[in-house]
Parts: sequence; structure tokens; C-alpha cells
Amino acid sequence: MSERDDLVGALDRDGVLAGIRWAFTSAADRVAEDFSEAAGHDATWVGVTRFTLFRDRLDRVFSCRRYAVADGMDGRLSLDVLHAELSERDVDTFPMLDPDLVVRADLSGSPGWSHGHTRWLLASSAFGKLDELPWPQKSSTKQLVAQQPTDEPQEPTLFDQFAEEEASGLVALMAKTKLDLHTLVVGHSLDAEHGGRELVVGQPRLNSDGGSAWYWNHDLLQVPPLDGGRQQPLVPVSVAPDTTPDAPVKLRRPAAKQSEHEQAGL
Amino acid sequence: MSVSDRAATAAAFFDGARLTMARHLAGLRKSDLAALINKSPTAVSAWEAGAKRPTPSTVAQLALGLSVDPGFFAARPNDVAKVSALPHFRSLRSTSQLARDQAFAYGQVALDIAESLDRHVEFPEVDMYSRPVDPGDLDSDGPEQAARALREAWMFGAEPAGHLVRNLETHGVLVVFSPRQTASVDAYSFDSRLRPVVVLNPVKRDYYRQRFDVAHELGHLIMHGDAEPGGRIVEEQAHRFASELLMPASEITGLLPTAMNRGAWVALAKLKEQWGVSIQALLFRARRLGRLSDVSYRNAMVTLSTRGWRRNEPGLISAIEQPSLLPRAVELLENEGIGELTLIEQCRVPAELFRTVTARTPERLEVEPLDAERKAKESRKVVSLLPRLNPPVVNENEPQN
Repeated sequence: MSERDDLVGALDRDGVLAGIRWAFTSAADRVAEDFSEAAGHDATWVGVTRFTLFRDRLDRVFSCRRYAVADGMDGRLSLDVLHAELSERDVDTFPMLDPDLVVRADLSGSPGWSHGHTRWLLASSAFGKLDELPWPQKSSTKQLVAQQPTDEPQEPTLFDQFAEEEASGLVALMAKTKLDLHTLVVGHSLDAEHGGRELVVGQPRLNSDGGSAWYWNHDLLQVPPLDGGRQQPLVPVSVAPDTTPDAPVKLRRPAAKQSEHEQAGL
Repeated sequence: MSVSDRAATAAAFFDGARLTMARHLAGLRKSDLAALINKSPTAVSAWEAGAKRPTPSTVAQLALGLSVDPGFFAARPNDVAKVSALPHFRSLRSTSQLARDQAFAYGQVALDIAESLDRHVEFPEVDMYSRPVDPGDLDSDGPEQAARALREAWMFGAEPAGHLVRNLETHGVLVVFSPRQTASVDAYSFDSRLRPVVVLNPVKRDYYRQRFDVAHELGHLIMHGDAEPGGRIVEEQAHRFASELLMPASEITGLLPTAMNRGAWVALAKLKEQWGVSIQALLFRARRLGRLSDVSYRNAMVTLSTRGWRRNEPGLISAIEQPSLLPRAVELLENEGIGELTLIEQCRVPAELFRTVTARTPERLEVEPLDAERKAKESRKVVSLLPRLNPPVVNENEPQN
């Protein structure tokens, strides 16, 4: 089994990919709904808003940062906070995931999330250009991620003919770029005007040579949504009684009955 | 009386507004209802508008399709829909029109039940004042002035606001919990010529945050009688009203921390219990009143998030404020020998709906949706509030004939 199969399989099995897909869909839907060329929105607005909302939705679905719950608490706590401003569709499709499944794992200030020993960062792209993401022009963090060693078979290179001692020197050099966690990138794009969208998770490849931006990537929009359905809130079945005296409510007694009561001194 | 007799009577007194209400409660569009009874959407529109009157057999079909008694469609002394102002929903974009219509219809049913019980009991008279604030003005201190005026009128003095729901009820406001099916709609309110209504979210089980919701809705009722609901400024004004009502600047400013250290968190925890507001609200207030810098506020919120307090802030009070007007009325009448079933019959609403409206506490929540609810969800987004194929209700306190 390849590294790709291992990584994708683990993320998929535990529902992480479904969570990422939900987060992207929710963010992209909201951007598409709000986008208005007439209001002055442009590609920059789409990119910035999509990134901001995607990061927020990932924090929601994985109970991170402002949506965190204390250790050992159930993820169904205070759903009104978790569901604030979401559409009904978002709420209906919100995957039910354990709050401990994923934690935030930023890398040099770049927002990141991790599951087990795998981290992912976000990278946006122009629609249709995901395969050409120019890592050398991206941040040094992304470049570092794109230089990680990978077990994936590569195209033959000039280095294949190096002598053994030279090759080991290269391995030592590569080891310096090894990160604390194996780090993938979630690439995403949105054509707000025409509704096109792309979402992949993959191992980025430093494409200084102008080749593909990925050793491999996996299309997340093909991931079937989890059959979670609307989350049911976790609340005590019974509510503690309110001991404050009731507001004044009086019986309207029929006149005859009223006078009987009065005669009886009631 | 047989169903056909009841349908004939209901047809004679048919009120299109009642059909609209039932359709909204069921979460149906006109075309959905038309398909349900094999009639045209135009016919449904005509019945609802009062342009045409359905035949007794159609009334029976409508009643069956919507799971209400035919008597539900009969005219009432007051058309609650007509006398109600537009409701103030928090976020218009996150709930569909269908869901909002359903929530509003529920509030109207609550008002209708209160009107029906009013024949037997005296509720507190409506004693609310109006202090309109320009819905386009974000700069003036109109909301704060309105809150201060209310504190004075309700004689809070320099003290915390006390039991807010009870304060509202004592001044004639009807407060009810919404059913769990509409939990995605946050607390909302509307005024009416009968009495103002506040509908509370049934899943928000945090005493401190719920009080802020109630204060927010009270702000709408006092300031926004004529304002277009749902606007950002209108919502912001209601928030400012709630802040001043619950945390009056004149009393709390000097008590709020100016820097966030260990002592500050302890002080906030004490203020939380004293004033009945969340630490998040206190921090926001401290920034608003210039006690905390933006940086200190942001850092404090990060700390709070890391501890998981945004979703579960620790506090000493676990019992949320609960309404009493309708449950008290039902209890009084039961003591007088007028049982729940009699009242349900008089109100002519489904028993489950009557019980949800007149409950002291929110509906019991199941961890998983009921099968029927799940199936309904698969076909439609908005789940009906009307019973479907439910067994008949048996009241154990009533003798069975």
C-alpha cells in the first residue's frame, strides 16, 4: 500500500475528510451567496473571505479554537454557538465528530490542523489551476512543506546516478526539511461567478521545474458525506426547577361562585 | 360530534388565516399542501385569502392532511396573525422563510392559547412602555437611554436585573419555549395588540446566556415596534440595550478589570454570579466601556476559547429562567376541576402543541431523532409541529367516557 493510500485511508476512515469537505462546502456556499460584483467584490474578496470562512468552518467541525470544548466534554454542547449563522443545509449536513479527533497544529503562523501524525495546511488557487500551484512563489512555510521527503515513487532525476556517498549527503540535506508532523496541503479554489469549485488534499511537490504541484492529490469533492444528519443537542433531559415565585395569575370566578366564596369568608 | 359534523361546522365558520397558520405550523408551502389534498395551489391561496370558502369535505381533507381537528380552522374572536407585528428574528439568512413562518405561527398559537385561557384566568395586564429608537442610528445612546429608563420604571435601582422572565411576565409579556423542531431559530419576539410575546430557544440551557437573550428581545419590544426586523443595526441596538439593562455602566464600570491577570478572572467570576451575565458578556462590556484594551480583550477571549468556555462557561446557576404564566393558569384550572383535555378542546389545538406552549420547561430532548422525524426530514427540511399518526392522547386525570 502506498503512502498516499495509508494517509488518505486513515483520514477517510475517521471522518476527517468528510469534515474538511463539509467545512469547504459551507464556506464556499456562503461566499457564493454573498458574492456580488455589483457591490464591488472581486477575486481578492473571494479569496480572502473563502480562506477566513474555511478556517472558521474547520474549527467548528473539529471543535478547535473558539469552538473548543473542555477536555472530556461532549461535542454536542451548546450547538447554538456551533451552528451560529450556518445555513439549514450546513446544520443538516454537519458531521458528528469527536472533539478530540483533530487539533489545531499551526506551522510558522500558517493555520494547520492535525489528526494523529498527519497535519494539513490550506492553500488557495485560481479555479482550474490547482495542478500548477507555484510553491516557489508561496510562503517559506509552504515551500518547506513542499520539500518534505516522500515515499512516493518519483520521476527519474539526474540524482539517480549519484554515487552512494553523494546520495547519503542528499538524504542528510533532505532530513533538515523534515517537519515535526507529516504535513499535507488542502488545495481549494472557487469560481464564485460560475459556481465551479475544487478541493483536494495531497502531498505538495516543490515545482521549481515548472512540473506538477503535487506528488499526489486526492479529490475531496468525491468523498461521500457522512451519514450523520442533524446533530442533536446534548442537554440534560430534565431541567432543574425554577424556584422563583410565579407571576400573578388569578382565576376569573363566575359571579355566583365568587359570592359563595365571599360568604364563606374565602 | 363526528368528524364530518365538525368539518361542516368548521366550514361554516372557516377562517383562511387559520389555514395559513396550520400550513405554517406543518412547515408546508401552498403547493405542498395542495399536492397533499389533490387540489390546486390557486385553490389553497383562495381559501387562505378568504376569496373562496372550502366545502365541508375539503375542510375534512385539510384537517386530515395537516393533522389538526377541523375546529382549528374556525374563526377566533381575535385573528392573532392580523394583530401581531412582524417578529424579530436574529439571523434572517441562516433560517429559511419556511422555518421562520413556522416559528412565527408557533408564537401566534401561544398567543391564541393565552387568549383562550384568558376567559378563565386573569393574566397580568400589559404594562410595557415604548421607547422607539431610530433603526438607522448606530451612534446615539438611544438603546442605553431606553435601558436606563426601563431599569427606573421597573425599579431595579442600582441592583442586578433579577429574574428577567418573571419581570417580563409581571408586565404582561407572554414568554414560552419553542419546540425542539424549531431550535435552529434563535429566541425571537413580536408585539401584538393582545400582548407581546417572547419565544425562547429550547436548547440554550445556559442561565446566563439565556438572560441576555431575554434582555435582547425585551430591547426589540421596547425600541423596535415599527422597525424593520433583522437589520444589523437593529440587532446591535438590541444588544446594547441588553448590556445596559443587565450591566448598567453607572454601577459596573468601576468593578470591571482594567488588565487581565489571575485576580481579574476571579473578579469576573464573582461579577458573573452577582449580575447574572456570562464572563464573555462582561469582557465585551469591559472593552466597550474602555476598561479593557482591544489587545487585552482579544487575549482574554483566546484564553476563554482555549478552556472551552465559549461553549460551556462554568457558573454556579444551572437552572435556566422558566416561564410561569400559562403553566400557572393550567394548574389553577386543573385545581378547579377543569382538566387539560377540556382546555385543549376549548383551544382547539393539537394536544402536543398545547403542552409545549404551556410547559414550564423546554421539551424533553431525545439524543437521536425519532424515526418519524427522521423520515420527515428526509423528504422536507422543515419538520411539522403538528402531530402525524400519533396515538390519541389520554389524560390520566380525566375520567374516560
